[in-house]
Amino acid sequence: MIVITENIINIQEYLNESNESSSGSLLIFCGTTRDNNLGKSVDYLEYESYVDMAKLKLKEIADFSISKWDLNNLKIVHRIGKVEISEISLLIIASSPHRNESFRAIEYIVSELKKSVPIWKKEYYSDGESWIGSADNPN
Amino acid sequence: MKITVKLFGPHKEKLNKDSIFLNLSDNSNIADLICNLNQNEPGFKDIVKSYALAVNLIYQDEDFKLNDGDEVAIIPPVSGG
Repeated sequence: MIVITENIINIQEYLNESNESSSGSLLIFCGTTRDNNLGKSVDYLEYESYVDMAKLKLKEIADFSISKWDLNNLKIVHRIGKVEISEISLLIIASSPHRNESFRAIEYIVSELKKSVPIWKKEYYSDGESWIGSADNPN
Repeated sequence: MKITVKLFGPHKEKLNKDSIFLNLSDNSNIADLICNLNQNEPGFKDIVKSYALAVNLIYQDEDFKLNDGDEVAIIPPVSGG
């Protein structure tokens, strides 16, 4: 399941439907918004996405991961719009027969997402704002 | 042929628009489109320096041949997560 949403991500909502009786591992990864970056205090963030393409890229990444690591269930949820500090911007839930598969899958998914999925974040500070990912403000 | 160019993030903000509509000659590729924008779109050359390209939601190289009605996205360095 791939979701891109402007709503606050409620883990329980996605967790309820994620476990399978054939799984021995249910792994949850949350990316949360940090209150500092490169020595600057961050007030809040905004995420923007090319939603149709982001969903397509995430589905490619998910399909590959399900096949490679034999996952029983996989959910990837990304927040867009304004996100306050400490809120969840990214939720990944993976279940698999054994733990190694879901650990490896989640590491791969986060890494690929940061390389190729068209989502951008902008940090807001007390004295300005900055898009992340540019040469002078790396991801 | 008619092409829609989509802009995002810092490019959209600095150029103050999210789309550009172009009329290109047949057999144009993405490199031709970028050349057109560099020449004709005010500020484009100075603002849009680091990017990837997608046509109809799929990443493509600059030699990719365009077709009438294509949507070309100029993708700034991504920073999801």
